[in-house]
Amino acid sequence: MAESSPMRFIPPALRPLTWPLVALGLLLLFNVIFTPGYLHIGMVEGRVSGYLVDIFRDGAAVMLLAVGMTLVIATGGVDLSVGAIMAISAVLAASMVTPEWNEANLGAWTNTLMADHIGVWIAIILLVSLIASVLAGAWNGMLVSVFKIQPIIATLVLMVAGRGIAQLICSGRIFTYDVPGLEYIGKGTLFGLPFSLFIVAGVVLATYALTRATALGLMIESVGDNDVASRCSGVPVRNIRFLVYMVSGLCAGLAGLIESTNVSSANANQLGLYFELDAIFAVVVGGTALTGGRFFLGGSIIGALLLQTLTNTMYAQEVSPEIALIPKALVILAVCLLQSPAFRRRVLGVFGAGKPSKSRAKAGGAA
Amino acid sequence: MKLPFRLSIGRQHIPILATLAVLILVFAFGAIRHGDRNFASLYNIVSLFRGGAVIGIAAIGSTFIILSKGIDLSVGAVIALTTTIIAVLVSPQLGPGWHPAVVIPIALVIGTLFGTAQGCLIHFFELPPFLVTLAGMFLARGLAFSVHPQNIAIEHDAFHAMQSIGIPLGRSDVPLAVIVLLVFYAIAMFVSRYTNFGREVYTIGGDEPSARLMGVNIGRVKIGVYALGGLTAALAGVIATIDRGDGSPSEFVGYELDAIAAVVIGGTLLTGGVGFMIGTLLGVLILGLIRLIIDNEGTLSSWWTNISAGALLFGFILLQTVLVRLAKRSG
Amino acid sequence: MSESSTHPPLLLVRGVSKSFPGVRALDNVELTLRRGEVHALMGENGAGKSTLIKVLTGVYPHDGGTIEFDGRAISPASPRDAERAGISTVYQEVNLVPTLSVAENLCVGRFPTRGGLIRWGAARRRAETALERVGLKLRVGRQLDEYSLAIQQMVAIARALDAEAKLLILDEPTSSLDESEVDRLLELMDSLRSGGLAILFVTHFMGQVYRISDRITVLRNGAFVAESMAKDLPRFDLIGQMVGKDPEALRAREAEVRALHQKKAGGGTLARVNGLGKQGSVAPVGFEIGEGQTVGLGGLLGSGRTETARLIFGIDKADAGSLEIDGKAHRPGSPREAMALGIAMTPDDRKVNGIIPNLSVRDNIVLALQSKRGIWRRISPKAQRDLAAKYIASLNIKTSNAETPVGTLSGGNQQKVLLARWLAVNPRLFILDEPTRGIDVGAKGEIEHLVADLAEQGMSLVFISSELEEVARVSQRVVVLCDREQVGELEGEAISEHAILEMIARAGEKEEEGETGWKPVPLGDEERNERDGDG
Repeated sequence: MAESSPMRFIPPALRPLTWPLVALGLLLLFNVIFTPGYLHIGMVEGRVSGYLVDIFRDGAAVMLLAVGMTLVIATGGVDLSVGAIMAISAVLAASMVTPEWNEANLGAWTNTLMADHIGVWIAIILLVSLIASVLAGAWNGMLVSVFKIQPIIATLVLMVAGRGIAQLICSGRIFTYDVPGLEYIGKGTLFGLPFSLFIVAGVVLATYALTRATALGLMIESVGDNDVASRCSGVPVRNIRFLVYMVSGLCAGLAGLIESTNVSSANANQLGLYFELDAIFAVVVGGTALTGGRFFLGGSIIGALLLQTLTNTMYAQEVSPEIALIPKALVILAVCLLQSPAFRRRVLGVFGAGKPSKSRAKAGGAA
Repeated sequence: MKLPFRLSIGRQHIPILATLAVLILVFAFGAIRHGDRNFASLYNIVSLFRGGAVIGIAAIGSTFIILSKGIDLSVGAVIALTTTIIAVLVSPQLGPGWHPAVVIPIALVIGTLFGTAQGCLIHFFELPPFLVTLAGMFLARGLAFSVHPQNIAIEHDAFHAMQSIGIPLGRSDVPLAVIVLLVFYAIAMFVSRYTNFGREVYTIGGDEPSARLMGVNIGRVKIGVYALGGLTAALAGVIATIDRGDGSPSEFVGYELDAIAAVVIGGTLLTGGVGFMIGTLLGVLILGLIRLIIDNEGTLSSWWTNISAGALLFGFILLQTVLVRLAKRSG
Repeated sequence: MSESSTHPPLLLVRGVSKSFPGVRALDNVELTLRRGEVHALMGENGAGKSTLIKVLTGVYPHDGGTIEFDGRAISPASPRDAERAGISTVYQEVNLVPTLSVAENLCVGRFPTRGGLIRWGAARRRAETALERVGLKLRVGRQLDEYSLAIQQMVAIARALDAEAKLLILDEPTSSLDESEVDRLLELMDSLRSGGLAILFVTHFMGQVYRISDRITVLRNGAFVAESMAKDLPRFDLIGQMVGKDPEALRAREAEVRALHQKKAGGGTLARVNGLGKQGSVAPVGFEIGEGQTVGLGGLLGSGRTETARLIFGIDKADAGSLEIDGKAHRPGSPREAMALGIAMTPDDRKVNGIIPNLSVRDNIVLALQSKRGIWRRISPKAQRDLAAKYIASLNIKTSNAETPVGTLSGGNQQKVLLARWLAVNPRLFILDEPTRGIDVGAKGEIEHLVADLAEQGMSLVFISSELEEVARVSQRVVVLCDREQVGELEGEAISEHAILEMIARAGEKEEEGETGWKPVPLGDEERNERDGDG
C-alpha cells in the first residue's frame, strides 16, 4: 500500500504514527494561533509551567493506562475494567490515610504507625493499593486465559462490580485527606516538573525494556496475531495473557493513585469514570489494531497526548468539559476512519488502492 | 393439527431457563425474607416493572444489537440527549414551546438517526462497534450538554396528563411507563420471532460470512439493529422524561452497562446469535429485584447492587462458556 | 452417466477474466456444463477455481467475457442473484449458521410468510421436504450444531437444492467427511444427476473425481487448460495438466526421491508410542520410531492421523497411554512439554496452527527457538537476522527480505518458513503434518527433498500426507489408521500405496457389520487387544 501513496516518504517505523502525529500537529498549530502564549514555558515558584506542561500533567493517568492497555490489546484483548481498578486503588489509599477508617478496619496500631512513621505507612499504602490492582488484573487474566472467556466480556464483570467493591471499601464515603507525602504523587514536582511525569516516563521505559529487550514483545504480538499457532510453537500463551492483564491492572492502580492524590480525595463513583475508553482510544489512535498483533507503545503515548491536548484546547477556548466531548468524539472517529482499511478503500480509494479486502482485513494491523 | 410452536427443549434454551430459575429464586428469597413488608405485593411488583422501564426499553435495542454480535455503549448518553431535547423543545422559555405530540416523534426520529449513523459507520467502514458507539456516547453526551447544560423541569399539562395515566390493577395503577414497556417487549418478541428481519439478526450474529452467502443483506440488518438501538434508547428517554418530569443532560450514566448486564443475565450470548428477547426483560427484573431486596435489607448498602450484578454477570458468562464448550465438544 | 451433448449446454462460460490489483486471477476462462452431468473442476491452489466459483455465484463481478446460463447471458451481482437464476453453491467451510435451528438454516432468506410474518409451521414442513430430497430425517427444531459435520454438509446441500437449483456447485464438500459419509454424498450426487441437475464438483481428491465425474475441466494459473471426458483422461495426464509439467518428468522425480529414502540404514529406537489415545479423538495407537527413521501415518482425512500427531506433540492431551523417549514415559500436556523432549511439529492447517501472518519472516523463524530459550533470554537481533538469512538461503524461501510479513508469502514459502522455525530448534523427532498440502509442485519437490535430507542426517520423522503415495514414498514404516483407530502397520519393502489402501479397505469391511458412526467410540486398551486378536 505504502509504495503507491504519499506514505512512501515516511520511514516505515513511523508510518503507523503518521495520522496521530498529523492530528497532534494540527491541534498544536491551532493552539499556537488562537491561544496567546501557548508555547510559553515559564517558571512559577520553582516549577515549570505552561500549556504544554499541563498536557503532560493532565494526561499522566491516561498515558499510564494506555501503556497497559497497549499490551492487552496487542494480545487481541481489551481491558474495560481499568477505570474501576483506578477507583479501587485510589479508594484504598484514601481510606488508609483516614484515621477513623483505619481504626475501624485495621486497628488502632495503624494510626500510631502513621503518626510516627508516615513514610513507612505511605510505602505500605502504595504497596497495598498496587497489589490490589495487580490482583484485580490477575482476576481478569484468569478469566481470559484459564476460563477462555472473551476479554470484552470477562473484563466487563469487574467493570460492573469494581466500583461496588471500591464503595464497599470506603462504605460509600468520599474521603478527603491532607497528607503531603501521599499527595506528592499527583501534585509534587521534581526538578521543576510534575512528579507524575517521572512515574509515566519510568513505566513507559520499563515497559519498553520489558517488551523489547526481552522476547516478551515478540511473544505478545505472536499471541495477538495467531494464538493457536503461537501455542503450537511453544509460546506460553496462557502466562502471557495472564501477565498483560496484571500489567494493565498495575498501570491502572498507579493511574488511580495519581488521579486521586492530585485532588486529595477519592470518589469511588466518579474517579476514573470512562478512563478505559480514553485509554482504548489512545491505543487505537496510536496504531495498534484492536484485533491484536503488532503494537506501538510510542503511538499509544502520542494517542493519549492527542486526546489530552484536545481536552486542554477546549479548556483554553473556555468550552465546558461536557461539550468538549463533541470534538473529542469527532477527532476519535476521524482518526479511526483514517486508519480503517475499508474507509481508505471506499473513500480515499485513489491514495490507498491495494489488494482485495480479504487480505487487507488480515493485515489490518500493519496498515 | 400442529401447535404453533413445539415444546422441545434444546441446548439454546438452557441459559434462559437459568435466568428464569434465578428470577424465581431471587423473588422467593425476597418474599420470604421480607414477607412482613409485603414484598410480594402487587404494588411492589408494579413498581419493580416501573423502576425497570427505562433500562428495560433501552435494553430491547441492546438485545438486538448483541444478538447481531455487536455492542452499543451509547445508550445512556442517547437517553440523556433525548430527555434534554424534549425538555427544551416543549419549554416556552428555553425553546419553541411545541406540543409534546410534535416533540416526542422528533425525539424518536433523532434517536433513530443517531443509531443509523452509528450503524453506517460500523457497516460501511468496518469499524469495531464498540469503538463507534463509544464515540457515539461521547458525542451524544456532549450534544445533550450543548442543547442545555442543566436539568430542566418540565411544566406542561400534557406531561402531567401522561404521568397520571394508569390502568387500575388491584389496588394499584399500572403507569404508562409499564404499559409502554410491556407493549414494546411484546412487539420486540414478535419481531424477533416472526419477521425476516428478526431471524436475520440471529443469522448474522451466528455467522456473518455464512449469512452473506445465504443471501442475507448484511448492511440492512446491521444498520437496522443500530437504528433500532437508537430508537429504543430514545423511547427510553421519552419514558424517562415523562416519569421524572424533567430533562437531564447529566443523568443516565452507566445505563448502557446495566442494559448489557440485563441482556447477558437474560441468557443472550455476548458472542451473538443466541438468546431470547423475553430473557432481557427477566434480566431487568432480576436486577430490579436485587436492588429492591438490598433496599429492604436496610443494613446492606447500595453498592451491593453493583457487586451482585457483577457476580450474576460472572455466573452467566461462566454458564455460557461451559455451554459453548460443550457444544464444540459434541459438534 | 447421461449423454446430453445433444441438448444445448446449461452453462457456457466464455473468455471470462477477473483481475485484482496486481493479480490476474482469471484469464480468458472457458467452462461448459450440460444438464445431468457431474463436472469436475480441477487445478492446483491458485489455479483460479475459487475465483471462478465466486464469479459464477456473484461474489465477484467479472471483468470480461460472457456467462450464458440456461440460454441467456447473466452476470449475478450477489449470491442471492445467482440463486434466483438457478445457481446454488455449497462451500467447503462457511455454509450455515450453527446457532440457528435446522429449519431456519434451510429457510433464512426465503421464509414462507403471510403478510410479512413468518409461518413457522410451513417453514418446518418445507425444511422437512427439503431434507427428504437428500435422504435425511432430522428434528428440524434442533440447533444445527447438535448434528455432526457430515449432516451439516447434507443440510447445506438440501438448502442449495431447495432454491430450485439447476446448477449445484460443490466446493470441496468432502474434505471434512469420513469415508462412509463421502460414499453417501457421492451417491446423492449420482441420484441428483439422474434427476437432471448439473453439478460442478471442485475437489482435490482424485479418486472421487474419477468415481463420479463425467467431464473434467482443468485450470492452471487462472487460465483454461483443457476439458476432457473423465474416462478418456488417464490420471497421470490429469496431473500433468494440473501442474503443467511433463508426466514423465514427474515420474522421474518420484523415483529419485524414493531412492533417496530407501538407502537409509536403521538405527536404534528413539521413541515408542505406547497406546496413546484420547476419548473422542483417536483410539489408543502404538508404534515405534527408530533413530533416523521416517514413520508415515497413513490414512484418509479424518482417520485419526492428525489426531495422533497432536497427541504426540501435546497440542491435545492424551488420556490413555504414553510416549516413551529415552526409556522414560511421558504424556505431553502442551507443545512446550513436547518441545522439551526434543519434538517438533509443523501442523496440518498452516493458516490456523502455523504462521503468525502479520509478523515478519524473521520473527516467524525465531519463534520456536525463542520459546524454547524462554522469554527473558532474547535472541540478539543480529543472531535473529543471521538465523533468518541462513534458512532463507538454505531452504530457498522466496521473500523480498526477512522483514516481510509472512502472511504475504505464497503457501509453499510459508511452509518453508515453518520448517525453518522448527529446524532452528534442532529437534530429534520432527512431525510433519501435511507439509505439502496446497503448495505448488516446485515447492512440493523441494520439501520432499528436504525431508529426505533430514532423515539422512539422522533426524527421526513422522510424516503425514493426504497423498498416500507420498507417504509410501518417504516412509520406512507406515502406521495405517482408519476411522480413528490403528488398523495395521507396514514396514520396508511391504510399503506401497496399494498396500495402505488395501489395509484401510479391509478395516472398512470389518466395520461393515456394525454401523459405522461419525464418531466411533474409542475402545479401551483391553478391548482393542481382543479385537486385534480376532483379526
